[in-house]
Amino acid sequence: MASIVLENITKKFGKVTALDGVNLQIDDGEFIVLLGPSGSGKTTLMYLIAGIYRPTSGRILFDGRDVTNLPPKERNVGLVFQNWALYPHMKVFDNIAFPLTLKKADKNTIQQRVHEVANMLRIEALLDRYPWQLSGGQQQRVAIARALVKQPQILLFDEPLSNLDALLRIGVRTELKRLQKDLKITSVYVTHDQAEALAIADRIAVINNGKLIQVGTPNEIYYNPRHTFVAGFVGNPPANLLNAEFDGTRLTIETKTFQAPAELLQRISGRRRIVLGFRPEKGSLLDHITENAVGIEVQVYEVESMGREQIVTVSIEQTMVKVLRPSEEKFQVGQRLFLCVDIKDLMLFDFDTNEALDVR
Amino acid sequence: MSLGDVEVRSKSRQIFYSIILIALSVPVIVAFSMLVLSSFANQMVTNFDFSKVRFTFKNWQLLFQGRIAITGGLRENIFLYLINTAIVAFGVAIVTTLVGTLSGYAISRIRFRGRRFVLLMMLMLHALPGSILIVGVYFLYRLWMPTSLNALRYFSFFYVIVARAALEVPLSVWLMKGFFDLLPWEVEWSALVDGASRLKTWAKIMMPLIKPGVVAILIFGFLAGWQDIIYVRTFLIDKTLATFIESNLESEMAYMPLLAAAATLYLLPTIFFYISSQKLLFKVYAGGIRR
Repeated sequence: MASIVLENITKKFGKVTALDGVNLQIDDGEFIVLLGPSGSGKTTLMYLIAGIYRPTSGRILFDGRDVTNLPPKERNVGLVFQNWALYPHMKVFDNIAFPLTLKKADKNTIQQRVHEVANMLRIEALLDRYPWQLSGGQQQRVAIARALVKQPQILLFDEPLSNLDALLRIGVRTELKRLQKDLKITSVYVTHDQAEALAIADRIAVINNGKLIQVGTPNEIYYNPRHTFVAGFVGNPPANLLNAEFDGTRLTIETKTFQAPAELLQRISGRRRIVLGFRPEKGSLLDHITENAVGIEVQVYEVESMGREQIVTVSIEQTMVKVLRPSEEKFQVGQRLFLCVDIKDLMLFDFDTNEALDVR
Repeated sequence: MSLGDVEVRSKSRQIFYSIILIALSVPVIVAFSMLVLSSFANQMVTNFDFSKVRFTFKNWQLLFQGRIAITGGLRENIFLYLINTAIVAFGVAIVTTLVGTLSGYAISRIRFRGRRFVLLMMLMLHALPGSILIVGVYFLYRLWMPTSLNALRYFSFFYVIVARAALEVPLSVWLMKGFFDLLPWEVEWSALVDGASRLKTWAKIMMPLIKPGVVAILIFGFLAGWQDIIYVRTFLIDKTLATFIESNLESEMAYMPLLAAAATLYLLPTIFFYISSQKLLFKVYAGGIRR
């Protein structure tokens, strides 16, 4: 158990900058998720914590101790790889026992500890098999057991669920979160799946192009994105982002114009162009404009049923907007309606910097 | 024609392929059978007329007694030659395997200056036959050889092993590099995070995973050492089976059926290793790693 501090971490591979000045503090016992699209640098950041890579510049501290230049074996971290990386020539028992045999632990301790973690992960019956005789879910448990057996101060997960089928994934996700809470081990979890991140994290760190975009609780990330990238990446479907022009009193989206609500004027503070955003579930499709809401005329483009809900795609001339509505409401393709969003549900971003506009 | 599973060849095709393969191997099989038959006969079997051929164990008996001619008192210690051959063969096998696996690992996994150059040079070295290099190799031998005859005998073993292994190293390094390239980085990283050193990862994780490849170069190295005649004849003070057979073929009192027995003895390890290693070569570990 340890806290992690990443100070101004930069990592370059030749001319490519994988990580650019990342600062991040992870508290003792916290479950943090590094979320980003593929190639964003999130796995690189995790390998830096594990000690597989060395940062080009910057410092890494565990519990205040500088570990930047320590090799992986002196960091006492457990790592679960995306492909699990079990040792194919060893039985499950030997796989799990491997970190302990390297530490030259005595036979009884090894026996006891391996059975302990195997019991915890419910793989005791499999100890005598080879990895290739196990199913995907079982192999994954073995990988987690191997990471846990040495009682690491930090647990690292590199997209551990991406090789499991969808149903199993949701089950294992719950178990992982529970396990982490029971053991109270500081955990860093890398994923590109925003739903997984929202479900499992204490805090989420969103990474794009080697830069840390936003760090916050799942609620903060979802309802209060600080950047258009976060708004456009998190959520299923993600938030709608619309470019709007402002002439001092009125906002214009393509050719549609409406009065800018007084509540927003201070946040816009005279900018000529801004980005308006809102969550799909916050939009309503009506034949009139409601109070305390902004409304704009749209045409229904397509309707997709999701069972409980439906995704209604509407068009404002060229721009497509997705709205999540209960399936009781009926829409027809081509229908003309007003898309209304409560003023309090509108998110505002600067057009140039893509950062959120706050009340100052 | 009925459609079968993709992995099953039709029967008629199988028979067709078998006939071609058998036809191609007939000359080899006939030649080796004649050699083996001769070793159990009172005269060389050179055609299919067996009317004068008598079956006998005498050749083998004489061979192990070291009496290379039927008449006369010439004696040679065939067991010593056998041991010498084995020393050279195992020596070459071990040196080749050690150098091959270690440098193969380094070239596959560690980025260092001149890596490509080393690989290309080795490929060039492999293109040159050993007999072309022998002048240079002999020059070095003369430079380094000790003066006392006793020391020279040991040195010649050492030298012939290293020199002969050097010819096998390029191929084995390339082979091993290919095997190591196939192993996912994650398995190695996993071992490093679990607390293993680089060398321990190589020995405990990587080597077992490429066991079929290691066995292959071990056997290639052994056979190269066992079969070699040019280097052994040039450098080794003692005789091996190869130089023994060669020197006796030329002698006036050569008794050919006895040499046939010696040649058959010389063949045995090759055949043994070929058969026993066949299964190992096809045994490839899989599972536990997803790509």
